[in-house]
Amino acid sequence: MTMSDIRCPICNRSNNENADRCWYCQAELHPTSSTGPQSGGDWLDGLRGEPEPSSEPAASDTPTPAPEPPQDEVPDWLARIRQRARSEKGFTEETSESTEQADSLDSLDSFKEFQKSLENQPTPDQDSSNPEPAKDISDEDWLTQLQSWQDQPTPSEPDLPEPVQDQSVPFKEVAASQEATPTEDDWLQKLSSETVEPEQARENDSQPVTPEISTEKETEDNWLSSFKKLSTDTDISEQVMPAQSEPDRTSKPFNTGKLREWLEEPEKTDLPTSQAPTEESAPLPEKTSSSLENASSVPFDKKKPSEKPAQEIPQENNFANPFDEKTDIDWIKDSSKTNEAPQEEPIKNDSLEPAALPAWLQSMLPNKKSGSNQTPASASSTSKYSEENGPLAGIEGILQGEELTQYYSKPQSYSGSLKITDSQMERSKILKAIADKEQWVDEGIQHKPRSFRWVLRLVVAVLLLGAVIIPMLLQNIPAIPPSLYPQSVINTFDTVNGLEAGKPVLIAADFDSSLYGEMNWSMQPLLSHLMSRNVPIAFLSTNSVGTTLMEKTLTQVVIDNPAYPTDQLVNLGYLPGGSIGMQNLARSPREAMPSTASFSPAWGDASPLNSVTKLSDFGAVIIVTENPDTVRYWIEQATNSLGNTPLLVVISAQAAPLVAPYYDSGQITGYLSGLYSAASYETLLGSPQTANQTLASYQAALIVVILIILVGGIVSLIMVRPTANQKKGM
Amino acid sequence: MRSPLIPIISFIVCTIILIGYFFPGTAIAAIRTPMLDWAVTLSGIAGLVAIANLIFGVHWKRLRDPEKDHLFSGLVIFSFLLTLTAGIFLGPNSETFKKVVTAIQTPIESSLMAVLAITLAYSSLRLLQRQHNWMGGFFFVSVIVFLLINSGIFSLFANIPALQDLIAGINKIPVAGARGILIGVALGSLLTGIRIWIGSDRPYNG
Repeated sequence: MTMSDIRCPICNRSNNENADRCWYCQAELHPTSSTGPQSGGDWLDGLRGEPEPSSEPAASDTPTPAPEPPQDEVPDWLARIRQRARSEKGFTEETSESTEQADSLDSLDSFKEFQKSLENQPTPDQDSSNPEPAKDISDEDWLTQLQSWQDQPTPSEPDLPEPVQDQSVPFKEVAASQEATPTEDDWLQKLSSETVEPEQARENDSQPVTPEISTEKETEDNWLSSFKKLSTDTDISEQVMPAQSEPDRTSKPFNTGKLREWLEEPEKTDLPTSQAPTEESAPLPEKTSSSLENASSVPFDKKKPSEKPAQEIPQENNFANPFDEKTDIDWIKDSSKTNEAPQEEPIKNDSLEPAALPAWLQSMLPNKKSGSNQTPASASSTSKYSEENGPLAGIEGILQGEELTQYYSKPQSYSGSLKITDSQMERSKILKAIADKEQWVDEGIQHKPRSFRWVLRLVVAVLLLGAVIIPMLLQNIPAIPPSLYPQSVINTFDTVNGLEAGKPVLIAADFDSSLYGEMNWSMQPLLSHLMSRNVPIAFLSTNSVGTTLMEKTLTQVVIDNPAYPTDQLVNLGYLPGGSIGMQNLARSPREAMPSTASFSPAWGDASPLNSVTKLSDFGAVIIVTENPDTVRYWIEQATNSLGNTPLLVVISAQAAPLVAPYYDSGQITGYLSGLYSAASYETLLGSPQTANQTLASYQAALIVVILIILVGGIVSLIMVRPTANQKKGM
Repeated sequence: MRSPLIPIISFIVCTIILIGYFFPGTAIAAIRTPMLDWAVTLSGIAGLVAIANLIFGVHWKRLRDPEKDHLFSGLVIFSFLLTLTAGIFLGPNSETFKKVVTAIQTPIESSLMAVLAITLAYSSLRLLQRQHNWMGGFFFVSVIVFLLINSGIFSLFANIPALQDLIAGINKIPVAGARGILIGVALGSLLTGIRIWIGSDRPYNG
């Protein structure tokens, strides 16, 4: 590794100092940022000193240092470097006083010290103790090197000489050693945008540097700025680029297409060269202009490179064809010219002569303009993507990530205003007109009169209670005796009247306490008739309270029939199981009800039920209930077991219509429904008792209810006007 | 998929009961009888389970819930324990125990029916106010007519020759409606029994 080599920040391999990109990984050796003012140029911009030829005259406020004639012993390019350094020093002092950079200079005073220290370092020709004589070679040596390089065989990938892997020099040291003096503005602005401590800068500056590099302070700005974006705390390879981009570049170093792309890379900058302030403000010497104009016409001289010393031939930059010293510098300048940012400080040094690209290289330029060697337009740069930010900055040819704009878009905004069509507007107007015409008043809310319903309820209750109680208290209010006897009552009477003496009857008392009053009055005539005939009575209930209530009623009837022996009454108790219990009883009464409610044998010899073994052995089965379903259950479960045994029903008046069909079908012999049937039965029996005593109250209450309904109906017909729906009937 | 064991058992039991119903003197009837006894016993146990659930599953939980009213649940549990204790020690045939039904339960339930009668009378007062249409009017007339018939007031006109036949004819009108209701109930019961028999309805699955 020679002193002129620089290390790739990506792969840490040595490259020729003139190379813009690493030979191995094709990463930019001097990565720049297209957005910043310093990003436009590379490290050779300072050396170049030749702005783009501009039609406008150069700015007169920036002094143009007079170019010095190159010394005989020093190559032209080195002489220009030195001249550039000297002129840059003076230019820096002038530009530091400009108002445009005043604020940045205030904040970067400390770094000026670093810059001064760089300037104070001896140049190669001043420092005689420089052990590296590489930069002191003459023109002949330099050309000899190029010639020797020309004689070398075309390198291929396996034959490439291994770059010097000098790992002893740390990254910071290498970065500090590239102290090409930058353009003042770029240099200071880059430093202002970064947080490099001045002490660190001094520390880097204190590192041993080669005199050769110390003379190239102009190049430090862009070069160093590219590395300052990297963090030295972590691995550089991780920060900068992936390793897979290397093989494509190195496998075919002489691929024409690759080379063409390489030449087009500087064109990827967004700003055209004509808009660069550098080009506008930098003075262009006549010599330089003329040289540039004639650059394309200058043929490539193959003899001159052969005269350069062999050690000066770049080892890795094999595809860089040798050309004369002017062409070398200008070629690089042309290729990197488009990287200059518009805010880049104009280069004052115009001493560099315009370069002349070789014909073969010009022919490779994609947008080569005839008659000039201007920087080709960035035509092919659109097909490639160059990372500008982040750890992959400066890496070209990477796969471009998907744009986030594909997934994120501006949120849709919804208007808060109501959007209605014309037809909807018309309809709303019609509805509004209809609503305005109607004078709707909620009478139930706005004109709700004071409620006297509680008074009406009280009146109804008093009337009903009076109709029930007064006849019972007075006892002299005659009731209307029943003269029209229902046939069901007559059949019931005839059935009981035809029972054999001593043959027991079974009474199923399946009624609740709520209707006990009605049921009590309804069944008393029947029970009284049975007792008058001295019929043994066995009773049970599928209801838990039925037997108790039945027993109470029998007790009352027994009082009215003192001749009836109480031992003829058998309380079988509760029959569980509902309809299943009924079926079980119908199948075998003795098994279903083996004992009485007092746990005595129900079917013993002393019992009046001793002759009963099945249900048909009863003289009659009487169902006393207020529930028509109970009647249905008994009919369904016990009819087949009854045989010729009559089935009688005492039921509430409200359930009579549901029992009537069974009576009509003959499944029921007869039934009593309500108080009026009981009264009729008593009348048939010839001994009016309880039913007829309460019949007056019953009839009075019914008449009161009829009157209430009539009055209420008439008032409703008069006072209330029917609505539309009520007129329809539903 | 549920186990078919229970529907199979149900089908077999239903078949045995049904065949024993049509053939009472066969061996099938001998199998059917204990099955019915088991069913009666199970129904009694089901009653106990229902009572236990009412006391401990409902009211006892309400007592333990601080956000709910404890008064009526406490009364229910207290009444249950009192009645249970009295029934166990006094027996169901005790006259004192019978007064629990005759002196407490019957007056309460009869009073509720009296209140219902007054409420219905008051509602009938506003019958045409709510249903002011021909259906309401027809119902209004029907109520009046049947109340008059059941009151026995037509006995005053027993001498009129065709009156008794007319009253008998009028009484047949509700019987026609009741018959339709009963036919519907019978068909529904039959269909329900068949569905349970073939396993289409499985009320035993809970």
